[in-house]
Amino acid sequence: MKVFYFCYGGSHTSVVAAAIHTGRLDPGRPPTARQLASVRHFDRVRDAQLGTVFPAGRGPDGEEVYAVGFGPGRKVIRQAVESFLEMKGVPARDYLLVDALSRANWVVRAGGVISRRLGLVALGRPLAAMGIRQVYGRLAQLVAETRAEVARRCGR
Amino acid sequence: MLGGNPRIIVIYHGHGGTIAPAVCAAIHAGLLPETCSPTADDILGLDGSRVLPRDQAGRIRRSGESAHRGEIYFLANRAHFAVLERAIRQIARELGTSTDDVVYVDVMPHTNLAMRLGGLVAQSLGLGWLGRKVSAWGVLSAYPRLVDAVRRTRAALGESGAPTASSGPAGGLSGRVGGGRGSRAT
Repeated sequence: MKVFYFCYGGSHTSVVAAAIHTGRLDPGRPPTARQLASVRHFDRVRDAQLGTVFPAGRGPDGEEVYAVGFGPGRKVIRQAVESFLEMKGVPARDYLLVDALSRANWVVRAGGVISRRLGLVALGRPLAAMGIRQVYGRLAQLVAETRAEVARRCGR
Repeated sequence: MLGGNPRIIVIYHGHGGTIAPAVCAAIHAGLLPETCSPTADDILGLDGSRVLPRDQAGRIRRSGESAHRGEIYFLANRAHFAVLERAIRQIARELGTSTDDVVYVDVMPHTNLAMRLGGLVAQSLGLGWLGRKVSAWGVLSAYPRLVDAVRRTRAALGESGAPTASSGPAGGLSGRVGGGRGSRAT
């Protein structure tokens, strides 16, 4: 079983969701800016790396967890990936594609654009971190739902 | 070349509507003629000429099978193709599936203004009936170019019976995809 959290840049919401899922971040307490900055790949993925799958570790049921950025056409790419895997005979029960950007707010998005697109890291990164703290409960909820789905598929 | 080998998967793709990739896929699969022009009804009867609901955009759809047992598909990507291709390749690899047997063919260099305008009218303005008619008209005027693109693709794949001497690979053929080109950044 593999879980792929995706967002726009593979740098903020997907990375944080993957870190919660793998136990690197506490789902019950929003991380400090320093803790976020220490999460691997947080606000560090470049545009040229969109589509690259970053492994984040394993979840409680042994599932492998990844973060990936799909860029501006994330829903289109999700359909393309799912239909490709279906075409290749990969069972849908073997993976989950989870849209983490759906839980973001405008602060996360603005911070991401300022840091990743405009290159103003000193301004964008703290803003993105602040936005993540604001939506942390939503991300933790998304992870809880995803973990529950993984457990259901694993027959627990 | 294909005999005895695993099946090649050819995915015709374009940015925007599906009609151009669908027509090329249909030609390759033998659903549309190569030696004469089809009718507008033939074009409009293709599965790919219908406007997809937004939540279906990006689905890779099957057109049929080539004479050389290749599987022929089409896709309207409406995303950055390089990102889409990389995501498919890397996720497939993580799930134990290779993309070495996949060839993507970009049909956009073979489209004309009417086809692009028709796609825009159908997708963005929601005028499917008008957009499809404009696109079909565009397809008919560009048909020889689309046939040529398919022939070049076949030649590049080494499918016998396709012209090889002067045609060369199709302009939008991106070659076999995968096979160690993936990069896992750290």
